Amino acid sequence: MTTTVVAAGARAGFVTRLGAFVVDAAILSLGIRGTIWLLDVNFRVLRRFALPVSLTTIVLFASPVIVALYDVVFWRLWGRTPGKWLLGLRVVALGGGRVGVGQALLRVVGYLVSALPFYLGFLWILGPRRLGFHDHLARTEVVRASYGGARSTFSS
Amino acid sequence: MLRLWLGLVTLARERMNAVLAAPEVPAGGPAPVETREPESAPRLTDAALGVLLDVGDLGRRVGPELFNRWTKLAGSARRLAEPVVRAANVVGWLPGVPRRAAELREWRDRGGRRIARWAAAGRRERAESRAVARAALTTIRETMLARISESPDLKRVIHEQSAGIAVNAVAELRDRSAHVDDLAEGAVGRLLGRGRARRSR
Repeated sequence: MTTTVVAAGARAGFVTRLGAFVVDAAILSLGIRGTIWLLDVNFRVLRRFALPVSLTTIVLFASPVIVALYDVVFWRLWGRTPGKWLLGLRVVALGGGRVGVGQALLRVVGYLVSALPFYLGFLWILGPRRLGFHDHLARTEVVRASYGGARSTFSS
Repeated sequence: MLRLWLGLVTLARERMNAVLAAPEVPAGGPAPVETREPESAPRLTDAALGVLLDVGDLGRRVGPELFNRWTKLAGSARRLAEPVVRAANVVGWLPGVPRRAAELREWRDRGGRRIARWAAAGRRERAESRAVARAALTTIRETMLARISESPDLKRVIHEQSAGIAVNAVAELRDRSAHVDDLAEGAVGRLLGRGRARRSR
């Protein structure tokens, strides 16, 4: 089997980033669905004592905000979401340095824009520079963390 | 303590019998029986076995002759014994002798009953000993397992091994994903007719 020796700091490719995205999506989906289920059970148990508003609906409508907060907070504080940590990736500002809040927000918006025209913004990562539309927009890049980075803790 | 010891011995004997009774067949079927062994220094046990075989052969040879002689001797003894039996019958009619004989039979029956009681008590004792020993062994085994599982060294080893497995799995995942990145970009590059994309190496 071919062994790929990955240099730390090299930009990550499409498949690795897709893998990290899927892990994050799974975490978010489970979290939101679990919360909705708990609220629903709570509503059924409390019956007429429950709040007159449907918390489930609120969570459902707030889920885009929750997703955006998840990304922004993780990128800003640790430079990586759990999915990116699992795949050994880190989001940094173009040329190095931590991602700012504004950059992170812009990157989230960039996600939406990238997805709109048939995910072309994401497929841009397959290009030679390995940057998606959201990377270009927020002036960020996704690099491989210090390799052998499986041993590094999430907060490192 | 005696009960525990007896139970342990009984259990050990049962296990040993079970092990000895299990046929041990090597892989590829049973090996052919070796009738000739290489010459070596004579062993005492082998010599004793040889003596027993010789005695057995002697017995087979002289057996019929001995049987004939024994039959003749027995006939003579029976002839000699007849007056003794008659005398005993006469003695049996003597006053007091029948009562003594009845007492003797009574002693014999009583002895038989006592032996039967002892045997039953022994069987009960053996069963109870086995139960006690089994309970003691279970307790000992559970105590040992509990001590082993609470051992900090063992916990440390398990923790290290689990962490090692997880770390290796994640490292493998990262390696493979980087490799697949290169493959995907290479495929796209060929499709679009441009040079090979930058690699993760």
